[in-house]
Amino acid sequence: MHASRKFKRAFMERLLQSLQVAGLTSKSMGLRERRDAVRLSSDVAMALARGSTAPWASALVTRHAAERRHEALMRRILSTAGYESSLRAAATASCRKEIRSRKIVRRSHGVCSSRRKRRSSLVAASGSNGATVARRMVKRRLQLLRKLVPGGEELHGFSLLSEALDYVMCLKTQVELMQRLCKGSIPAASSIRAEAAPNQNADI
Amino acid sequence: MDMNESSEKGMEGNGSSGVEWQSQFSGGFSTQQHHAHMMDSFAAASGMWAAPSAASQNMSGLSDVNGMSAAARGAGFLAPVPGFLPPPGLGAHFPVDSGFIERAARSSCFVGPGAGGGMMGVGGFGGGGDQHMGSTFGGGSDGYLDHRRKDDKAEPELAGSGGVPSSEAAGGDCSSKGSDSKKRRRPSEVMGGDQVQSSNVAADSANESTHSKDRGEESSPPTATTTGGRSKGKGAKEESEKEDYIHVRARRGQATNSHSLAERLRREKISERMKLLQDLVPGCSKVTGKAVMLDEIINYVQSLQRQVEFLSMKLSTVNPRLDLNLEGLLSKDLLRFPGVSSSSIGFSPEMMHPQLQLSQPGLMQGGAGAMGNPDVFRRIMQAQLGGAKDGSQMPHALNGSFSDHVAAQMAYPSSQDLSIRPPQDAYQM
Repeated sequence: MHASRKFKRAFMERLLQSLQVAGLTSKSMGLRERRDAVRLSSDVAMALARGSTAPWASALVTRHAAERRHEALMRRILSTAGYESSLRAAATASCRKEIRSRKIVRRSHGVCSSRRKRRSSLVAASGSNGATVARRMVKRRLQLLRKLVPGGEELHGFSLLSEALDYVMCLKTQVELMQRLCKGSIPAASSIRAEAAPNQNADI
Repeated sequence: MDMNESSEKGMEGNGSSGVEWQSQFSGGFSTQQHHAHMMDSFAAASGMWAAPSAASQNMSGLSDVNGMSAAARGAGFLAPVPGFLPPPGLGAHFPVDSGFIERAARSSCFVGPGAGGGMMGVGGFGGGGDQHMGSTFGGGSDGYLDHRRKDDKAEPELAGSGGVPSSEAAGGDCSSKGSDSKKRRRPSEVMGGDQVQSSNVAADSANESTHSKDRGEESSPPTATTTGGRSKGKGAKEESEKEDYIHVRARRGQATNSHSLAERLRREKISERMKLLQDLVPGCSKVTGKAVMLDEIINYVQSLQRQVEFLSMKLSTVNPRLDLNLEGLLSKDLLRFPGVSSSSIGFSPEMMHPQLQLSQPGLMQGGAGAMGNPDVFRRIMQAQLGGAKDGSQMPHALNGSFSDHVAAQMAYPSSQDLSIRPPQDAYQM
């Protein structure tokens, strides 16, 4: 199962645009910053290409927009794409606060659940029913999945799974397209260096 | 199919509507699935895959029929079935359908899109065995499953064939559910509730079954089998075969109140999603069980995210200034075209030469196609370079990039597992 060609094309377009923008914006020498810029632009491109029909796309954009360091880059990317409203909405302070508070809630949730786990592990040993154990495992994994999928915090059950499905599909195409870009933009003359570079990367 | 023949007999005097009805069974299965699918809210979510346009036409035809099924709870999804019984005074099957609507309204109706679609699907299969038909509820939801899967694969036949094993599996599941109540969440409830419900159901269906039996007898036995097989019931399983109602009943050994039906609907939707995810995540075909599947999914998502990070790092190092040159753009663009078969060829070095030779003509074709690209690329490319030396640079760059492609692919053993570049990569949906 693969994504539609239209999606890939739109994604690639936006990716190139945003990469170009990123190249102009971040003259920073830091590797990490550059990598973050590339990653951000790729994520935003994916989310924009997917459209706002998928909740994870909007959540992803919001998440990126709310980080202060990325604000300049996001502004440029979103302005070229013509999403001023979403940019403004995302960049408001309240949104940032929301994301920050969500992180705090998440952390505290982790603490509480670890406490609960300790207690429940004592209980679970007694009620070692196959069904309940399985259910708990499933629940734990669903929580993990919620953390992974952007915007999946509030989703439950079926919607979470369908969002995850969508997200996985788009992640796959993202990886594909970025690989293609990598290969495409390796300069032709340095074929030896190109062969050496993958070896280095394999070591990493 | 038997069903079609009998339906033909049933509506001799009805011109277009009869044809329409019949088409629902024979060829309209896909459209049925389509517009039933449209009713689902997740049609929007997965809209990027194969949104049928025919559905919209059918939807308008359903609006008047919705009034009939308004009494049914959550009536929207029931529409597909009665939607194809246009004005009254039609053949034998339509009163049955209205009876179905009543029944559905009265009983706790499972109103899934699969109900209508599954009914159609079950009818469309026609010659399935009794046990196959017996798993009607499963058939209903599996009809839904089918057109979900069909969205992804865009093959009605596949949905058709997929429906058969899946409904058989559901049939097996039915019996297992009846017998093995240990794993059910509310086993006692199920048994107890079902006793009550089946008696109610039997009492309710008594008067209706009589008048449906007449109609059932006048049509040929296969019809009775198929339509009777559609209804299901635990205690009334034998009766259900005599009845020809198209209404939803609980599966064997399960409660029939609305909550459990809705629960089952939810659970089946979820399991259907899990199956889709199973297809998506590589190496999950043998895995059964939600927990392990979810584990695999989580691992896959994490690995994909890590890959994205890694690739972004690589992109940032390869292109220090993040400027993208024409050759890169064109080669990547050409890789998308079906003419390029590089990804389907193996990665061994001695294959490189035939690969390059093969890809060259493909590239030239693709190159011709690339010129008709959206303007954005043009804009970007023109922004980047003077563009005078394209022709000479291109073949050389593409040669080089393909050798790099091969070399890089050899150096990416892990990535090949995860981001598979299968031959159908070039042949997208």
